[in-house]
Amino acid sequence: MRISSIQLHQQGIESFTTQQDKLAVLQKQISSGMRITRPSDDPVASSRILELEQTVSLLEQYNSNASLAENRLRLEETTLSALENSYYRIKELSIQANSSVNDSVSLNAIKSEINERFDELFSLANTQDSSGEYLFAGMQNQNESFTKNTTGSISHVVFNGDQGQRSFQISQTRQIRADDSGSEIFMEIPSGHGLITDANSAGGSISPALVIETTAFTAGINYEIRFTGANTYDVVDLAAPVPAIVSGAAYTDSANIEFAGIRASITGTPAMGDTFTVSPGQYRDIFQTMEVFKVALSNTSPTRSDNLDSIQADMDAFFQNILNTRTSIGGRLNAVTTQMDDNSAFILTTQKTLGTLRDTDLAEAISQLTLEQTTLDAALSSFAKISSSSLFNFLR
Amino acid sequence: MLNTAVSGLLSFQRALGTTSHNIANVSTEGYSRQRVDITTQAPSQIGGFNFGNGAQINSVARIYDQFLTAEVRGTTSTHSKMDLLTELSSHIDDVLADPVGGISPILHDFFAAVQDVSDDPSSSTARYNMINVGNTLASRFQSIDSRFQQLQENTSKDIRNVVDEVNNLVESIRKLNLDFNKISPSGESSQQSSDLLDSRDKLLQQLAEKIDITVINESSSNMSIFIGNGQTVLNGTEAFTLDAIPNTGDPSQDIIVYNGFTQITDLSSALHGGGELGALLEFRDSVLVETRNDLGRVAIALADSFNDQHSEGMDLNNDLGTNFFSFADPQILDFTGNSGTITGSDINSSISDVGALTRYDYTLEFDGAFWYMSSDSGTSLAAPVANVPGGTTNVTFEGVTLLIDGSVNTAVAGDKFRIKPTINGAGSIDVLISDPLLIAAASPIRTSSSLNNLGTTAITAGSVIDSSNPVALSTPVQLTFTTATTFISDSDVIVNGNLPAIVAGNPIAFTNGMTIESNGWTADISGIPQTGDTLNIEPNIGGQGDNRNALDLANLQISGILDGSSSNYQEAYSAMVGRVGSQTASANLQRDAAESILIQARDRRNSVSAVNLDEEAADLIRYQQAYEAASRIISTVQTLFDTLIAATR
Repeated sequence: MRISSIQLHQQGIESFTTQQDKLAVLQKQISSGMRITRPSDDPVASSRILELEQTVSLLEQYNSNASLAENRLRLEETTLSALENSYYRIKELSIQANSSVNDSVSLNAIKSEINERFDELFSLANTQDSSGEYLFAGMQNQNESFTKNTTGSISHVVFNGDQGQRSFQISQTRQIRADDSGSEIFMEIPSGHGLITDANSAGGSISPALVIETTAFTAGINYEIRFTGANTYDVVDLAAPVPAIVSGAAYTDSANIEFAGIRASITGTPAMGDTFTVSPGQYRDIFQTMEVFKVALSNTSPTRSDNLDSIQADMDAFFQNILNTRTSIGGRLNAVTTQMDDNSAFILTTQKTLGTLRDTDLAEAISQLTLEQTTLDAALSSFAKISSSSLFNFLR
Repeated sequence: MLNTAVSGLLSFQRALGTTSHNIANVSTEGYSRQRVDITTQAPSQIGGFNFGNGAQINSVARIYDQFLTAEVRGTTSTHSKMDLLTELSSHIDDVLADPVGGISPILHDFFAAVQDVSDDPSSSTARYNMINVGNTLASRFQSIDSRFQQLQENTSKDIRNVVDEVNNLVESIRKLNLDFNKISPSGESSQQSSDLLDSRDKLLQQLAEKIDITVINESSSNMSIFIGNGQTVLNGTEAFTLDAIPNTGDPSQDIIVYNGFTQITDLSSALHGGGELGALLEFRDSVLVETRNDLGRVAIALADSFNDQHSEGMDLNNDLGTNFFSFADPQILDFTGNSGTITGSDINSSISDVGALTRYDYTLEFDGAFWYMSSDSGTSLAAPVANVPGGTTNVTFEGVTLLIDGSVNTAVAGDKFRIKPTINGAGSIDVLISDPLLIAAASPIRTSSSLNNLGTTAITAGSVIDSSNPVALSTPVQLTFTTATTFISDSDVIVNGNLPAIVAGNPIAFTNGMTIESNGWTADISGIPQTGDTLNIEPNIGGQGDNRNALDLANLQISGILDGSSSNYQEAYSAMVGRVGSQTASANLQRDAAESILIQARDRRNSVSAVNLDEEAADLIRYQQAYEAASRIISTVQTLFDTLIAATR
C-alpha cells in the first residue's frame, strides 16, 4: 500500500496519544487506589458501590446507636444493682425488727435507718443519665420521675412518668428498648395488701390506703366511707352494708381514718352523701411498703411480727421485680453485643466486596503500567527511526 | 529540434512546479496531491514518416477518490458526535460520582443525624445538627441542579452557535460553487480548480463535523447537500438556512427550524444522527433533561415522604410536626398557540404519589370534551378525563395530580400544556425548620394501662396513621372493660380494620391481640382483662424523651419509597448514577469505535491522495534530470548550429 508522509506522522502521534492515555488512566488508578474514578468506568459497579457505601455507613450508625443503648442499659443495670443492695439492707432490718428482744431504742434506731433507706430508694428511683434526663420517667424524662406528696396524714410517692420506653435502632430490622419504666419497677409490685382508693366527692379527697394491721385485714373486700353529714361518716362493707363497720364517726380534716386494719386519710370538706371507696388492688408500691414498715415499728408484737411478715413478702416481690428487670436487661445487653458483633462482621464483608469492586489491584495495574510504558517507548523509538530516514537526506 | 527541446523543458518545468507544490503542501489538511500528465505532441509528417515533436502537458490531475473522501466525511460526523457526547456526558458523570460533592455521602450524613436525634431526642445539639445537615443536603441538591441548569443553558447556546456555523459553512460552500461556475475548466485554471476542490472538500469536512450531511454531484459546481430526512441546505448555488428558536411548548428548549421552500417547524428529532448538533440534541433530550428530572424526583421523594412522616410526630412544643422540607410543585408551561383562556396558573399541580413519579415530562391536551395526558416515555392516561365545565377537573397520572380550574377561564379544543413534574425538584428543595424545638421526634400519643387494673390488660405504645385531624388526635380516649370480655370506648373504634367503626359507648368484644384504630392512631391490646380495667390513650404532652417518630424518620432511609415502593432514596440515586454512567460509557465506546473507523478511512484517503515526500524526492530527481537533459539538447542544438555556421563561414 502506498503510504503518505502525513500518514506516517499521524500514525506515530496516534500511537503516542493512545499509549499516554492508557498510562494516565493507570497512573490515576494506582495513585488514587481506586479502580473506578467515574461511573462510566463501570456503571454497574458504580451504582453497586454507592449502595454498599450506604450499607457500611448505616451499619456504622447502628453500631453507634447500639453503643449508646449499651451505655444506657449499663446505667440502669448499675442503678438496679444499687437497689438490690438497698433491698438486702431493708430485708435485714425487717428481720432484725421482727425479733422480740428489740426495745424501743433499737426500734427507733431501725426506724431512723428505714427513713435513710427510704430516701436512698427515692433518689435511686429518680436516677438521671449523663444529660440530666430521668432514667425511669419513660418519655417524660425532663420531669422528676417520682415526687413525694402528702394527702391528709398519709405521705406517699407519686409517679410522674409514663409507661413509654426508648428504643434504639441497632440493625435494619431490630430495635432494642434501652430503659424500663419506673412504674413497672417501683409501683407495680404484686401484693396481697394492695388497695385502691377513689373519691366521689366535690370537696374532699382521699389518700392512698395502707394496710397497717394484717391480722385485722381481710383481702378482697370493697369498703365505702359514706358521709352521713358534713362531719360524720359510716364505713360499710359494700357486699354486706348492714351493719356498718364504723358508724357515725366524727370527721376531722386530714386525720387518720382506720378500720379493718386499713388506714386512710380524707382532706377537704366532704358534703353529706359523699362517698369514698377503698377497694382491693393488685399492687402496693415500694414506698407504701416502706411507709407501712415505719408504722409497724410502732406496733407491739405479735401485731408487729405479722405486719413485718407481710412487709417482707412485699419486699421479696420488689426484689423479684428488680431481678426480672435485670434479667431482661442482661438479655438486651447480650442482644446489643451480639448485634454489634454481627454488624462489625457485616461491615467487614461489605468492605471486602467494596474493595474488590472499587480498589485497584496494584500488582496487576503496575505490571500493566510497565507493559504500556514499554509499548510507548517502542512507539517513540520506532517513530524517531522511521521519520529520520528520507530520500532528501541522500540528495547531496 | 529546438522546439522539441523547449517543449520538454517547459513540461519538466511544470512538473517540477507541481512536485514543489506537492512538497509545499505535505502537511496541508485535505490536500490532494497533483500529478502532471505529460503526453507527446502531435507528430509532424515529413515524407511519409512521423517525426515526434516533443512533449506537452496534457493535464494536472488531482489524485483523488470520491468514495474515500465521502467515507472520511461520513465517519467524521459520527466521530464528532460521539466525541462531543462523551465530553458532555462526562460532565454529569463527574458531578454525580464525586465522592465528596455527590448526593450519596450527604444523604448518609443526614440520616445519621436523624438517628442521632432518635438516640437522644431531647438533646438540642443533635436537633441543631439535624437541621444543619438537612440544610447541607438541600444545598447539595441545589448546587448539583444548578450545574445541570448551567449545562442546559450552555447546551442551548452551543446549539445556536452550531446552527450559525452550519449556515456560515453552507454559505461559504455556495460562494465556492459560484466561483466554480466562473472558471472554465481548461488550461491554466485546472490547477486552480483542483485546489478549490480541496478547499470545498475541507469545508464539507467541517460541515460534517457540525451536522450529518449527504452530498451528491460532488465534483461539479451543481453539488447539493442534504441534511435530516432529506432537506436540501444547498442546491448548487442556492442555499437554505436553519434556525434555532424556542419551542412553542417549552421555551427552555430550542428547536431547529428549516427555512426551505416549505418551512419545517421542528427538525430537531431528525438531526440526532451525527455531528456536534446531533450530540448536543441527543445530550439535551435523552441525558440531561432526564437526569435533571431524576435528581428532582429523588429530592421530591425525600422531601415529600420525610414531610409526611414528620407531620405524624410531635415536636418539643407538644404540637404536631410541620413540613420539614419545602419543594416546588410540578411546572406547567402553556403552548404558545393555545387559544383558550385557561393558562398554567389555572391549573393547580401537586405530587400525589412519589412512588409513581417518573423522570419524564408530560403533555396535557384538551380536545374540547376530554383531557389527555401523555408522557415522553410513551405511556398515557388509560382513559381521558371528561372536562367539568365551570368546575374543577382532576387529572391524575403517574403520581402527578392536576386540578384544572374551569370556573373563570375555559379551554378550547387543541389547547396544550407541558407538564414537568420534577424539573425544579432538586433546585427548590429547602429546609423549612430552623428552630430545633420544631423537630417532631416524638409520637403525639402515648398509651397506658391503669395501675388500678386488676387484670393484666396491656396496650402497645401505639402509632399515628393519620395526622390530618390534630384535634381528634389530641383527644384522650379511655377504654373501660365493662365485663371481662367486653369493653367500651369513648370514641368510635375500628376493630382489626373492619368497617364500619363501632360507635362510642357500644360494647366491643375483646380478643387477645386485637388491633383498634381511632382518631388517627392505632394500637394493639392484649392480656387477661378484669371488669373495671381501663386503658388510656392520651396526647403525649411532655414526652420529650420519646423518639418513636425519629426512629420512623430514620427508617425512611431504607424504606422502599420510589418506583412503586421498590427503591429507597439511595437505590434510586444509584440507579440514576448507573444510567448516566452507562450512557457515558456507551458514548465512549462508540467514540472509540468511530475514531478507529475514522482513522482507517483517513488512512485510506491519505494513502491515495496525500503526499509522500520520498516519492516527490524521486520525482524531483527524475524531472530535474529530464530538465537537465532537455537543456543539454538545447546546448547541443546550439553547438550543432555553431558547427553549421562555422562550416559555412
